[in-house]
Amino acid sequence: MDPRLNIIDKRFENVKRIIAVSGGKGGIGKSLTASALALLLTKQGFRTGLLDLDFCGPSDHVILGIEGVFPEEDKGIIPPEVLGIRFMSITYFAGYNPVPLRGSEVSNAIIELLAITRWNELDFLIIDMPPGTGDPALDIIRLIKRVEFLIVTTQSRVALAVAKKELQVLKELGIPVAGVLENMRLKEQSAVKEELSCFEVPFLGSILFDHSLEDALGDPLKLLKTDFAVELEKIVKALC
Amino acid sequence: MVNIYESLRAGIFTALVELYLFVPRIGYPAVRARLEKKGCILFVCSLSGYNRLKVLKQLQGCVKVHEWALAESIVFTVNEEAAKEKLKDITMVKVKVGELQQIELDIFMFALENILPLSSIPLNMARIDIEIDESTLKCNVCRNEWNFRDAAGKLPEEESEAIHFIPEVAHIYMRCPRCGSPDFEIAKGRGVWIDYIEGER
Repeated sequence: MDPRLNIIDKRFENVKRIIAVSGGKGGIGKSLTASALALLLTKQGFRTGLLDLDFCGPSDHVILGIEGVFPEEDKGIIPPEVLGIRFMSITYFAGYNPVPLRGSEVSNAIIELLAITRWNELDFLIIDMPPGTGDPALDIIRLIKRVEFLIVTTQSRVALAVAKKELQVLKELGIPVAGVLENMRLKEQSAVKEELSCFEVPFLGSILFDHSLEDALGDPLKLLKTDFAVELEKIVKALC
Repeated sequence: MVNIYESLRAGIFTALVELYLFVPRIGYPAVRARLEKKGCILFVCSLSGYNRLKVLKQLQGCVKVHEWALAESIVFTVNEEAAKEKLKDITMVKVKVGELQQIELDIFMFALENILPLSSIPLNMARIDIEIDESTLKCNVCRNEWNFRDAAGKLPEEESEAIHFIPEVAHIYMRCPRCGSPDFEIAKGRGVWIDYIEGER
């Protein structure tokens, strides 16, 4: 009997909303969306946490320029507050090293992290998910009962096809979807909203491909001034 | 910093503020080691007639380690299971602690002892049996088997500490001693779990 499973609910009892930022494919801007979302919610005065669950490719700390911090041990571990965000990531323990984990080990590491992390009071916990509907997604659905998903996709047929599969899984499992965000839009015309209408989930909006984003990585103030963040801020208001 | 050792010997106890004291016979050497590692000032001294409860209360406030979270999960689970199975009395709880987790048993027991009063079903340390589960690591490439204990001594302290928090990060810092692959399985000796709970309805 794994006692960690019984304590996870208690760890989230003072967190009002838990949003997993997900999407089938890699490289569609999930981490950027999750990180910027956490920044924008904090800017609006919400107590916000950010959990980077992409163990094999953690990048939120790079996007937000977070370094030199470590969780505090206090009857568990308390994520450090950086930029007003309670931030937890495997990078505290893995450093800059690659993390070669198989699926079952990813699951075990997720359970461990969820069981020992004390978030205390939060209005929002944003979870940056790895791509796909594999172990991490199924674990989060199994372990965090109040989780809702925010699906990121692009207008590419490749990304859209996988986003549909993820939405199908979530629908089948009865998991709430806070909405779908179309990111990195290149063309004037886009069929994303229409293509996903059959899932009956809120379409949060489209964000154009932002060429200035790369230069803003690691600089939160610059990041908040990008067109991406300005557009996302409008979407955040719809979420709250 | 005030050196209060002499003052203590002279029976002046007012300088206890911000210092963590305990009598050696209480026997939590790992607590002391961890506190010392964390830069706390510790004076180990024999205080004849000193109230043990007072000392424990002081320690309770300063054990800030994550063993606490795991101990909490044990008590929480025993309570859940007892309610589910309608148990009125718990006669034995068998807890296994994986070697890879590098739980400091003294700290874990100390945390358990302090969490037990919060249990909704009466539970005491005499009814909790804790056993260390030795590790077996199995290479997925060459099928070599080895244990964490043999390799752990060669790891730098910060890497060992990272494994203590999240045992899976062993894959980052350890390699199969035969073929050098990071692709190995933790076949045994991971985590903390409850082997069984015995009780009466």
